[in-house]
Amino acid sequence: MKPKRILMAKTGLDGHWRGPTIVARALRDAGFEVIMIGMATTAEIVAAAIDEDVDLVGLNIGGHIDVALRAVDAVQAAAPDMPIFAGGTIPPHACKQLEAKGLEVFPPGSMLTDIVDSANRLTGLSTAP
Amino acid sequence: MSDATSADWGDGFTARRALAKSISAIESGGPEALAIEQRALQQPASAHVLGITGPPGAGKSSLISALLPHALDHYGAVAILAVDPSSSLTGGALLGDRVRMDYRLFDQKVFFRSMASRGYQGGIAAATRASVNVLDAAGWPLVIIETLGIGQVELDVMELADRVAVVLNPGWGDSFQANKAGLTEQGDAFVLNKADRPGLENAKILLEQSLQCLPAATPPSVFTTIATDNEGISELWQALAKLMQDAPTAQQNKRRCDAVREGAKTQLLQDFERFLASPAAATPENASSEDAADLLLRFYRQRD
Repeated sequence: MKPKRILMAKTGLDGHWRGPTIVARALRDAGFEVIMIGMATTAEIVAAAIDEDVDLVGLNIGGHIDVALRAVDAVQAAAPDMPIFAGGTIPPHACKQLEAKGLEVFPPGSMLTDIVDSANRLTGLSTAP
Repeated sequence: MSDATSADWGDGFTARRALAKSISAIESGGPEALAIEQRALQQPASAHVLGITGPPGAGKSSLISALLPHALDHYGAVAILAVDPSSSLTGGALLGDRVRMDYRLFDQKVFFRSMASRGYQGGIAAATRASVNVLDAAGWPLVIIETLGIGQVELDVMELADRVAVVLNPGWGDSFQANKAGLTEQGDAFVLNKADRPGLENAKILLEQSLQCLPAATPPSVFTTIATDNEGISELWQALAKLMQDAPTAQQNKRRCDAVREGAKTQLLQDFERFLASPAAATPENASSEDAADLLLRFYRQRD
């Protein structure tokens, strides 16, 4: 079967790479093609998601939540059929804001297996709840 | 067939998504991929294709990022196909070539596509060749192919690109490495990147001596660069631009012939798979391999 493609981007001015790198590694080992773009502006994230024709966008959220919310809006406007999930050091009130936009959110303490399960579900590889 | 077969690949955001989806369809293979490539081949080839190859970590992506402003000045728009390896264990891949790019240059004039090798062994992906033809048909005047980190023989890009730069580093090898067959036989330009590392002079001399033994009137030049500091980049670009300008058009024609041949091969293989799955492939007991070959030929003759 054709491997599913996931874009991994960082929103805002935040240089903490360890989290998204470990998540990318777990997704790679689960059979996904993971495209890393590192720190990027909203426009850059949208352009990368389109050019790379990904099945899922992963946002590692650092810095202000408003920047992340703008990135979510922009991706959803450009590609309404492209699911998004998010992770990082996200405070509870910000998690709620992201969830309200339809995202699955993985704050500190999340299990890698749960993130992989979510990726499988969001890319249609599994129908498990 | 989805929209990808017929959609507009020209300017604009919608077209951009259609182009990206066409490349995905090519990666997936099958009849849609063939239809897309046939459509691409209806237009005459006009793009220049530049290959950048070399071992892992040599600085291929950083070099492309540094060359990009020059390439944009020269060509107006640039498409990049960057290949990284797929795991033979899980099929997964970490496609990290974008990490080295300077996104300030990325606008509607740069198309960047990361490609996993998906088991293909030649240093590129099986879909790279057809994707080049699609980007050419869509009007991208320069296509840069970044191979995955190669060893000594994964040199398919030499056949596909008009010109290829091989990227190495100081301390890369001794005189025996420099004289082995493969990597140092076929590049059009050689780059010693990370030139601030020890061993530059020695590496340059060994490489130049090896290249002088090639049966070419003028051996390929060796350039020294520090991609992350932008050192030696304009000189390298000027040389590459000149090489591209002088590239024989025969290479473009060959690219298209190869594409047609690959398409035919894919078609035959698909037919063969269909044959194996069909009742026509049921061989009688005690059938010889000759009988089986007869069945196959009969199947092929009936396919119209």
